[in-house]
Amino acid sequence: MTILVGSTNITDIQIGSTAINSVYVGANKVWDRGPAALDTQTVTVGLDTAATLSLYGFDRDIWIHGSITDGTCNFKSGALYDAIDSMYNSNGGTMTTILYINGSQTNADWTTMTIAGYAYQRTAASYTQGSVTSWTWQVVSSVSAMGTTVGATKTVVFT
Amino acid sequence: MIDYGTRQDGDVLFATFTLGELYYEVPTATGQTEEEIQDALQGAIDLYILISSNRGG
Repeated sequence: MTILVGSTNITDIQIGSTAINSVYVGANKVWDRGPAALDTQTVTVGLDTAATLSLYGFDRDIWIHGSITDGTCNFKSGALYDAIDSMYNSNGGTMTTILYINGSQTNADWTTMTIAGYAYQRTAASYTQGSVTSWTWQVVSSVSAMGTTVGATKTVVFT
Repeated sequence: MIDYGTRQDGDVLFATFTLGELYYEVPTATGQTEEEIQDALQGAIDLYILISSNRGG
């Protein structure tokens, strides 16, 4: 259930300071707030490139670009986010959404990562666990959840 | 041929395997053939290597 204003997906509705949890048209529910967020991060989009790859988002490790606030993961005991990116590969025309969290983390504790309205299900991701843990979603597309504007801010919500 | 196990997570069945120090889980789909699963597992390895090599990892 979504409400769009132009192309903007509405994720919060308030009357004064009161949060609205659902919206009805007649008897039909057309929107609800959904589950409470486990963690919310703000990414300032940076860009890095290598060979055929263009990454928009944030990476705090060797491939450094962008930034994040506050950068610690509430549902993984305060582990650091290492990267949240949209990676376009011109070789094959694929877009890969990347989530890296520092340390060896289980594939559990969260359900959905939403970047600026684009939702990514944990159980739809390829997961790799090592000294850093990654979740990746790859599709043939040029649509970047992080956009392509360096310096833009994107809200990343985990539920 | 990658030798894999499985793990059920809600409605999703993951194919699971370990390669070196890395443990992988790749979602499968109902009706997927063995060849398609193998392609997905190899794709997950290739993608991880692509990203890691460019991150310097």
